[in-house]
Amino acid sequence: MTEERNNDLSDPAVSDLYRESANERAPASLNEAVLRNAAAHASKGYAHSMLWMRPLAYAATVVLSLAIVVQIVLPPKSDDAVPAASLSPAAEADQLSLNADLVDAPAGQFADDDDPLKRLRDQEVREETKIEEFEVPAVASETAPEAAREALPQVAAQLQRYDDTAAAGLEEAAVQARAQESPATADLESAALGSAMVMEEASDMAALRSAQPGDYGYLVSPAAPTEESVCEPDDVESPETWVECIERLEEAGRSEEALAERIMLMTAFPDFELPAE
Amino acid sequence: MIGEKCLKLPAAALFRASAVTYAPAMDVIPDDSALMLRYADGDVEAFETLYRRHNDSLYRYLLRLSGHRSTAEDVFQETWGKIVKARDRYQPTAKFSTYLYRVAHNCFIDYLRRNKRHSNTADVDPDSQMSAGAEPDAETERSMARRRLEQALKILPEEQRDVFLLHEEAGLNLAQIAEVTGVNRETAKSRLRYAVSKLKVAIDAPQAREVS
Repeated sequence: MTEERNNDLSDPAVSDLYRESANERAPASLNEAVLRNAAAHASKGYAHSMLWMRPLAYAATVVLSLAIVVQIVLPPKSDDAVPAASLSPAAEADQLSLNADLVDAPAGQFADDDDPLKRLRDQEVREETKIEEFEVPAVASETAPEAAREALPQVAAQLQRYDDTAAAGLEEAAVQARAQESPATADLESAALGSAMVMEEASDMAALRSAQPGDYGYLVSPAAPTEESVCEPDDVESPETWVECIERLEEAGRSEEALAERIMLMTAFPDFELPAE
Repeated sequence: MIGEKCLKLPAAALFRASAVTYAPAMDVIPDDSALMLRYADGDVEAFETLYRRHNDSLYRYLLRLSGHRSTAEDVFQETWGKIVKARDRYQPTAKFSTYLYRVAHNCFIDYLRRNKRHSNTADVDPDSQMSAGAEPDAETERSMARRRLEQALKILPEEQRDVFLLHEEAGLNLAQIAEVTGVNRETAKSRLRYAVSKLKVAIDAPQAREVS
């Protein structure tokens, strides 16, 4: 409609006559000047945009690199981390290893191991082969001397106390917390705990096999020996006085208590060499 | 070849020819706004294509509007300079030719304000080599009519000449002419009607005199 009205306004004769006369063209020099100006501004615009793009690209690269480095270097935060137990993982493993040694050891081992270098090598071997050592007790208990067999209930009771106390829970919590930091350490901890449980069962069975009827009543008896030493506090402050106390107990015929004191002494002073019985 | 022919045509004829000749391939020919946007992204060839579409018609518009070749060239260059500088701000909200001729119109108005010496005494006369009564026998009636049209166009009021040239050279409709000149549509329509009427009278005047 609008176009029709426009056409009504324009006269064809006038339009045709005008187009016949309007044949001028823009001068070539003018065309060249305009196009040159347009090309110059276009390249300037491109350069201007590049001035912004390059610093932006550099900044983006730096920011991304820093983010990646921070992600790699910093350990992940564990909100549910449990406070570590008082004992370090290595100390806990040593403790369990020592208990296993007590189960496996012949009666005269403590007196026979005089060479410090040998003890050091044994300690290293124990650290490397904790799991294997923990899996042996069932066989070892069958060949152990009577004295060691008598010691089994004591060790079993001690391990039982470990389970009964919160230490076991703390150990598991510590293992879970450390599992996020070092899977290898966590595996070792788990293996140690599992071996301790196996050892406990084995020692219980050995105690049942070796003990006379009525001897294992202390496992459930309220009169069973506790962690408290029968020796005086002054005696247990040093291994020498503790040994004197043990000798007094043996002389008094309290062999079971003496043996328990020996075990506690070895536990408290693992580097102390006990004299031969 | 078709492209060259189109470049030689006046703007209105160019638009009509494009609509007919290139109708089957409309999707492959970028429109003016697309070319301008490409130029804003740094495509110089797009600008050259756009420029070739409009340079001659714009030049004729300014030449006939000012009546001075030097004025037309100055305003022509200034117009394209402003188009180039404003490429980043260009928004294809209207037809590019409307935008182009609005810039040219404003540049011409600014030029008149800056140069008070500008007068309506035109120095452009295609038939200036021929005197009015020198070769009546050799001159065809058609060429005499063209000369009368040129003379009538020069003496038209500037607003009416502007509207007529925008309609003929740029191919703008009344709404677009109103937008370019900054008046309402009815004013533009009135100006165009007066301009066409006066030009028609000027063309037919000798014939009327001969008839009478």
